[in-house]
Amino acid sequence: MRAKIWGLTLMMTAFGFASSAMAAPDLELPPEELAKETVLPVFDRVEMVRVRKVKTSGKWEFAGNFSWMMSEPIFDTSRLGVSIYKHTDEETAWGAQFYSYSTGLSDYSKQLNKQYQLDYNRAPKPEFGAFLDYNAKLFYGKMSISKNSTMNTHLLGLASIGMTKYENDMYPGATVGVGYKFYFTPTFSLRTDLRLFIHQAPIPFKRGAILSTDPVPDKGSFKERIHYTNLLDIGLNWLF
Amino acid sequence: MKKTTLMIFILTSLITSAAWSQDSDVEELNLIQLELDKSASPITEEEDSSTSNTTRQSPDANRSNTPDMTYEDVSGLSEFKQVSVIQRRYLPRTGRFQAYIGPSMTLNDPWFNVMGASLKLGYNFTETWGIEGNYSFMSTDKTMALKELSKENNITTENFVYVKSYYTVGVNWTPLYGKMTWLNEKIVYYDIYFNAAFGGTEIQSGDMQDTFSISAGQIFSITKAYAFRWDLSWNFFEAKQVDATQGTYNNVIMSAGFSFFFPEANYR
Repeated sequence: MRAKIWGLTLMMTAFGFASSAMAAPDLELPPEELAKETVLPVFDRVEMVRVRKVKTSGKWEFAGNFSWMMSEPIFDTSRLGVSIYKHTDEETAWGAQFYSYSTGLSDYSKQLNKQYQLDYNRAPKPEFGAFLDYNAKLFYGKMSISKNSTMNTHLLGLASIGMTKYENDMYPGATVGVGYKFYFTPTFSLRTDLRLFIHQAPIPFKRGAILSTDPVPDKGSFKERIHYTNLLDIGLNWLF
Repeated sequence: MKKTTLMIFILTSLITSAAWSQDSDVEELNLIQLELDKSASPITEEEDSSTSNTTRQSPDANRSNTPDMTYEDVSGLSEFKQVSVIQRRYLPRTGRFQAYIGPSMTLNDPWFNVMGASLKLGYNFTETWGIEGNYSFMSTDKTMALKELSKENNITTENFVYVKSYYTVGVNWTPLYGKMTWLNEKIVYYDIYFNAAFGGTEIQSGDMQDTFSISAGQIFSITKAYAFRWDLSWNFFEAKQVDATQGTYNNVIMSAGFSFFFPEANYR
């Protein structure tokens, strides 16, 4: 009986303290002890997107694209490519790219030939290239199209290394740049890349070899140096 | 006996304090309710007539007037007339000026490294439409390819065309806006815009050539007053080519910098 009374007493005491706390009078603190600045709470785990419409982690992606070698002076400025990527997670993808170069000359080369009889068909041309491409999926988002529909996007950081086969030899190269993917559906997207292509390659301006009246040179006799070329890629991607 | 008396005293005091605190809370809630009732504006007949499809009644009244619905009734509901797929724009632009400054460079000139700065000033009539003027001045340096062409192939390159500056005035169309997350940690709001413009290009000879320009770009909001902006412009103009004939030149120019919006967006 005594134990029951004590138990009841303790329970009522706890209830009483809780009620008393609610009725606590306002505390008055001196101004120098009050907080003078505010801070935002820091969470251990920040997650801005809980449910992604476009899920890439663990998936493969196949792509076909067209490249415009914008600052190529001598050879045809277009090339076609196919790529396959493995998305290791939502932030990273690794891919293998294969490019086939057009075999013609640029408009500038044609003008130089017309005006000065310079034939750059004598210089070694690029034929194809193979690259290992790294994609950092920095930004994932969605955009509104006239308030009626949305399209998901990825903004990518890009870097690749590989080799380019010329008519005379193979040369190493690397690219860095940014890419943008616009998803029509969770599996199909349009992709544009802007890259700086840094590559070793033959110098097509060889003295005594390019003029139409010059003897035809050996394609292995051209000197080499590092070239810088701006690339603009546009292509279609299929995620599966 | 003393213990029992003490216990009754404690219990009485605790229960009293609990009751006092509950009374206090109820009184405070009543005060808040009273303030809300006072601040609520009365519904006028005009407002009622303008919102013909919706009746502004208290939830209780709605509940009592609305007949019970079944699942079959749901299929007969009409579609929403307007669907906003994303929340309001973070950076409003209607009725505001935009001043931009940033470095720029020509990406597709094989003979010259062309770099400079762009200044733009625009005004948006609506969130979608606006006008913008641009002035860019360029500094030019010969590329290795041009030096080799001149040296190895004995070509005079003085008449090769390059751009010293250009200006355009055009229309800005911003149909796309959205938001994206930076590595799933931070939300960034942006607009994508397109621009068509006319103007002039000053080439190396000093001549000013008529120029048509199209461009596309993106504005990433940092605050409601300034933003990071990048764009690609494609300029077309006519000039004498390498083979001495008149031809069309096209320059792809990339620019990246910061935009400042004014006056302050204090109407949202």
